[in-house]
Amino acid sequence: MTRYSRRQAIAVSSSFISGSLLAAPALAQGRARVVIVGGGFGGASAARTLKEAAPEIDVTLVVDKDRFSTCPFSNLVIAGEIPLSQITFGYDRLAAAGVEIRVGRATEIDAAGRVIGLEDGSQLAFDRAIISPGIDLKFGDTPGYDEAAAALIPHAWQAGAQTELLRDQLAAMPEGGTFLMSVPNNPYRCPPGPYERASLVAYFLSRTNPSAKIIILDGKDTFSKQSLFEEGWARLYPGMITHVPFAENGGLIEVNPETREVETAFETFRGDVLNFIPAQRAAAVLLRSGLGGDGDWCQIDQATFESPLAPGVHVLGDSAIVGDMPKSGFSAAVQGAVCAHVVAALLRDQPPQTGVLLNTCYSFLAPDYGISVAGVYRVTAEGRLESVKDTGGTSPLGASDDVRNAAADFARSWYANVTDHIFG
Amino acid sequence: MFKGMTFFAFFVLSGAASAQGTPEQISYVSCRSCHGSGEGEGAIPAIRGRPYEDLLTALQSFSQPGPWTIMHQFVVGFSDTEIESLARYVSDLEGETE
Repeated sequence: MTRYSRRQAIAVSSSFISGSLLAAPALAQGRARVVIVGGGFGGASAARTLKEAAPEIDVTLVVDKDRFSTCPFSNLVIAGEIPLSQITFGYDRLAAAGVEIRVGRATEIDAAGRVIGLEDGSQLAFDRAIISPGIDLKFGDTPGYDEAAAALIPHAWQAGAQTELLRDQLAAMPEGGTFLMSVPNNPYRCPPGPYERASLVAYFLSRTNPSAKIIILDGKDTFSKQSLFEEGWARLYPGMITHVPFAENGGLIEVNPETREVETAFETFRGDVLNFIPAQRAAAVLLRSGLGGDGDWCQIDQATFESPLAPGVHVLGDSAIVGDMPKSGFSAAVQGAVCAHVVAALLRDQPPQTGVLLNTCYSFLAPDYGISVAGVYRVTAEGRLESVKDTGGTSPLGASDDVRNAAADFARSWYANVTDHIFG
Repeated sequence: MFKGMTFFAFFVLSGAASAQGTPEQISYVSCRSCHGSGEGEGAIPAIRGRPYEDLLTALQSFSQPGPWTIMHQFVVGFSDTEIESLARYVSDLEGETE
């Protein structure tokens, strides 16, 4: 459809009166329009790939702010290893590639009317939309933790000012103090992220405040790459990190941001610094617009990312349930680019293809000590994006320093390459 | 009426639009995530536009026993035909600019 010229489109519209044609604003203007919501790994990757793959499509990227700080590598900021500026990117290069950047908050997705509503009251018409706004935090889910509390006891689970707040609190922690973390049950953004954070906080404390302790209150009993983390903790930070699984804390009752106390079913814990990572859900714009159905996350067609509840609207990244893929920046970047190919095909009236999707989550236990978990995903005949049997997995237990060092180097290389491709 | 429209759309489209999102192109999205879209940076080697034989040999080597790498965990998920198609696709990217 996208190849109609303006004149052809008008001719077709007047010759063949069709509801679907009249409803499609692109045809009236001669160019298909795709609106992408979300300026992180998923949305920016979709914009980059769509403009490359289908330059004839008008692509608008709606971003909350004109700069984006990545959650990947933000734990290195907290540990004081790199500045926030090193993980913060703008959209100038995407704009130079022909993507229209619109700074503003999307507040409504109207699939029937094919428009995205913004907070300032303006509306953006689309033929297809790609929505990748990431997570929202479930403020109020645990009594005592709301938006105001986050200014005292940071979550730092959306990177930026929260990251710097936690970094500064860590650096100011009294000698021999306790760094207390509260980690939610699955699903949440970046499954191994909290344990990488504990590791890098330990790295920082082991050099500056070696008698300090780290306690992780967990909403679950087991976690991603657990044996690899525990092996590394015993080796690098013996006795510093205590993991309290759900079975030993019984779950959160209440948090007090003033005293930095967390009451669980079995015990009350107090931290000199409290990093409270709350439960999460799909971004509000999606749930408000009905794309989450009755749940906290968005179901999608796992081959095309299209919402069954909102035809023409594709959802990906942390907000969506994308088969077996984890909620990671790597996954979102891959999904964004794949979805861009799907959307380009659909707008050209071609059948969308599928391929193999990969994910790797690297974690640092120290700046020179990395571990990984990788996955291979394919769409099955039943339409599920499933992890392929006997593929993927973690890096090996008991590996040499060279292997850990190489993984840390690979992590840095991945980060440089993926951010360069998307934002650079 | 709809038949006519479909034919019209096909006629207009067929000349200009190339095949969109082949399986290799879609799989390459994941490769590019680590290996980069240009010369690449750091420990992960650039692959774009490298000779087909080199890419194929490298990919096939990851299905042989050897020191552990993430690539071993990936390559086992692809068929021989898919490996060949992917190597061909990535090799053919030579000369493209961003």
